[in-house]
Amino acid sequence: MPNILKAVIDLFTYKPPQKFKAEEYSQDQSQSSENAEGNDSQENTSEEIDWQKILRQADDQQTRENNQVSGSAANTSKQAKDGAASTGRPAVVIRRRNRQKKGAGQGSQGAGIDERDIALIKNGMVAPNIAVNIEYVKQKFSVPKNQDIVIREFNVAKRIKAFLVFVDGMMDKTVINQFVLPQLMDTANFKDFSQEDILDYIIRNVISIYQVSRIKEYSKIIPQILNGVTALFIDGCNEALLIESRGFEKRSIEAPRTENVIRGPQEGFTENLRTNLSLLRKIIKSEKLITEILPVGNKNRINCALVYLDDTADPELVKEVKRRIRNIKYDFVESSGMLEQLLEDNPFMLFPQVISTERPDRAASFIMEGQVVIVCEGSPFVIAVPVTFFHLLHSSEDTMLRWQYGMFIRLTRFLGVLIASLVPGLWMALVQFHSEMIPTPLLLSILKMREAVPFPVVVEVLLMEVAFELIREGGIRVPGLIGQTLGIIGALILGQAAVAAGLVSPILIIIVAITGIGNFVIPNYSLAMAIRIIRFFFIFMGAVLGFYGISVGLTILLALTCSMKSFGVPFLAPFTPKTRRSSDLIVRKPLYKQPVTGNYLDTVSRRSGLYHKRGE
Amino acid sequence: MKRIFSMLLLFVMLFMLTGCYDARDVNDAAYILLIGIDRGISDKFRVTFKFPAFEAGGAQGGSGGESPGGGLSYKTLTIDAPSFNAALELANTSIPRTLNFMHAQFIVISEDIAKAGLVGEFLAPIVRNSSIRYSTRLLIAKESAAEFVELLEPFGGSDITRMCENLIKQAQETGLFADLTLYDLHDCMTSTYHQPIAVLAAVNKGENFIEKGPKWDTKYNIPGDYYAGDVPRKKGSKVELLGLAVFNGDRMVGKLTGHESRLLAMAKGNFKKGTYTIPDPKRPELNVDLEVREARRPDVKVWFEGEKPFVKLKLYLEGDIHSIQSGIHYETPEMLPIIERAFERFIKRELDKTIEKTQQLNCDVFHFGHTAVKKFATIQEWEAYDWNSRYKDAKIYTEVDFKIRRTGTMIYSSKIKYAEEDK
Repeated sequence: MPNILKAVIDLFTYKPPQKFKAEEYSQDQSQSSENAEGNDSQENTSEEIDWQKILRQADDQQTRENNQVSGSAANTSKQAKDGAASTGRPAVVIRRRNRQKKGAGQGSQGAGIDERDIALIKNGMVAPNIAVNIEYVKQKFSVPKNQDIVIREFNVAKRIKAFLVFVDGMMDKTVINQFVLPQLMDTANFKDFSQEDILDYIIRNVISIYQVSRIKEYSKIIPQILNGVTALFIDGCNEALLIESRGFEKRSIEAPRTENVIRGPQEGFTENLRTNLSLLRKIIKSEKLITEILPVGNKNRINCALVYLDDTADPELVKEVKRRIRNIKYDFVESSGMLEQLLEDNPFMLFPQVISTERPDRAASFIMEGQVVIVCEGSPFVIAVPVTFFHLLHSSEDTMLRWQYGMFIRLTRFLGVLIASLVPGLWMALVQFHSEMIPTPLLLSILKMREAVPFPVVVEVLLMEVAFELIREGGIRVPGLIGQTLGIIGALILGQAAVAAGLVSPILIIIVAITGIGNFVIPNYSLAMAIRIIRFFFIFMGAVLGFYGISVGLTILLALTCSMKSFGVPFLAPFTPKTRRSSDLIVRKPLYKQPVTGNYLDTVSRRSGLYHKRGE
Repeated sequence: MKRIFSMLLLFVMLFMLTGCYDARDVNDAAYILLIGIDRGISDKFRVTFKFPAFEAGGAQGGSGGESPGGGLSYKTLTIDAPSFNAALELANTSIPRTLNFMHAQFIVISEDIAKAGLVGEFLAPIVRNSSIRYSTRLLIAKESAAEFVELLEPFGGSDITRMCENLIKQAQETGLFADLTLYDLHDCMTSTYHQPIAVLAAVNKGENFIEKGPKWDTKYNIPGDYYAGDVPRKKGSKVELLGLAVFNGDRMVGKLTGHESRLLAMAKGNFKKGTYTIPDPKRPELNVDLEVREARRPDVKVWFEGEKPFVKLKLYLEGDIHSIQSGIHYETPEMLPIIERAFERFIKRELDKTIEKTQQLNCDVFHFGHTAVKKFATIQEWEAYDWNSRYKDAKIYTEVDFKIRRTGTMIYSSKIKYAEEDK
């Protein structure tokens, strides 16, 4: 029983892909022999012993490979070692190409093809017979119906049949035209070639591409092709060569659109994963910065990268994030916005539980604090977890300015949150229940202004708030320059006209305006949205129960917020539960007094006292 | 399910238990700013309300919204009724809005009522009314409260509440009256330590302002030595607050002038500052102007010889010289005490007169009772002693200490020089 448990845990532990490359073959061999159907669900129960064995073998093989120059020798020794598990395939496959000529004319994989080819292709492995492969690829990609897929057949050094598969438009044409095809076709390049592993020879001597890899399984080749990698199949090889040729149209790096700062870098993330990662690497030049790439989405399989600092981020946290990403069972994940919803702790909570940012510098600061940053392909927003309420209110400008200024703008922001969420509600309460609290001169002018308004205050407030929401939403959706104009003109005209028509009182325009401005102060878009909604909740509570209602509402909200967690970190973390407090929450201290990492994140270097650390 | 149900129940309870029913739109209420109370003709009391007129403003667009507070106008309503609450109900037969007293500024009671001892009777329902603040200012109007309420109009502005608040605030600037609330009167009425006072108010009709007559000589009046309504002035605001009404229980028995109110404030330690004019000690036909402040709280000592109370009151004052008309060089350390002693004599004389006046009324408005009570072991003994009745027998010694701190912007006075023939 402990064995099984250990194996299950082991299975869920992510291992870097480099280590796996050598052992993939033997793993799949043993798998295919056991369950020919490729039933994935059974994997973890039947294979726990094999894993250990495979690891051992992989290690052996790697050391051997280091000692021996020739790849074929390594292959033979591996085959010998595998013995019973593998089907005893010869290491040198060139010799079969004569027989292959015979079968090539037939078009389909029928009679005349080696049974072993069929067995391999059935198990989703690359077959040595190129005709089988070509047919398999065509069927997989529905060629010729699917016209994006290009299958380029040619001969390597005028002798060996081969073909390239790639997706048109996803790859860089010059790579194929200048560095792959001419060199493979040139017989001069194969002058020294003797009876050895042709793929190894090509990798070492022919193709001048910076990144190539050999893969056997179609399950790994096909996603790579879809990512823009070119696959090279050569007759007689039971592996395909993946040639890094990605080159698709992408947006250049621009200034962030949603998070503007006055002082600070003006670079923003783009939709390209590689670009985004490089932007992060550019800021954190540390060998401890780990990038792990995981596919997300059952059907669209986009890549997302986990970026964290190995010696800072809590290993438990990294594990948890990976567990959640792996367990996403959703067909179509489009961007980090969708990923966020699939990852968050409580989908019914109003507040965002991850923080998304468009700024590499901000993402880098999250990483440095011990958070895990998830970069998602196709989205210029990266998300960082875990998050606390105070993170959502910080802006990168806080720390880039001197601490006095930073503190000032941060306090302004906190004030903005209070105003944006409470002012209309308080106004409701004040006017409906607590008119004694209004200074008399003000009350008299309110009276005078409201005299012509035929509606009760609630209707008045809701009317204006709804109008404001419409303007705001309209301003975003309306294309281009008209958007801004609509926002300003709409607000001005609507407000003025509403007052003139006697629909609302002028003082309400001020209330709505100050609430709107307060909302714009909030640096996080998700939080701003939450506050926009909460505002209506407080209007309701204020209208029904006055200040009592506001305080009841605040209590409910605080209780709910207290119970919220983001990846195990309480949402109001440094305050409740109370941990050793980072000074960088509301008030900023001079930079030299302020540690980078927060205790509540339970980073490797610090202890919060909240949880037991492993190994202590 | 259970959880949802309990949450639902909680919400329903929260909403059922409170709130909601009290919600009242600001525009559904008539905010009473002034309440005036007279003796009625057709009924026991005549109650006057003053409230802002419900005119729409600021909604006309264009220039309408410029100054929403500007151009407020006010309306008054006078009703004869057997009691305050009855008046409220009757008022609502003609006013379409609920009367709301949360913003009441002044409660004005006519001298008639005060002298007849009806204040207690009338205030009883008012102090129980939850919407009338205990800190509402209370005034005693010299003649008709209704007239006072009607004529109290904003002066130099349009806002009556600002007018009221700022007018009362002048008490601190001059000390000629005091900032007294409903609480002060109502609480003191039942006190065994002292007797209540209230601010005197009146409509000044300008009767004391004599247009033509012999010109004034070198003599002069003591500043503020008037009762409300008697100040010789013309135009300005129609109303004035000056001096204090002295009560015995809830019956008004006497008045203090503005000047006496100041001395009372000094003796109680409430005096902020005030200007005094005294004759120059060396040339009595000319004046010396002083601005006087309280240096520290007065010392009050009370002791008893048998049943007879003795009180020793020492005032500590300080001040600046505002003017020396004679040009005598008083600014030297040797000469300053001359003015100081003269002023001390002046204050002591006036203070003694005021104390004597209150003793004749037998009203301890000086709060000596607060010190006297410390000589008694129990409240019962104190109540049995009955300080309020014994006050007239008290022997009161007074002493004044005055120091000049600054001499204004001059440190040397020089005589005015005349041409040859005048010498």
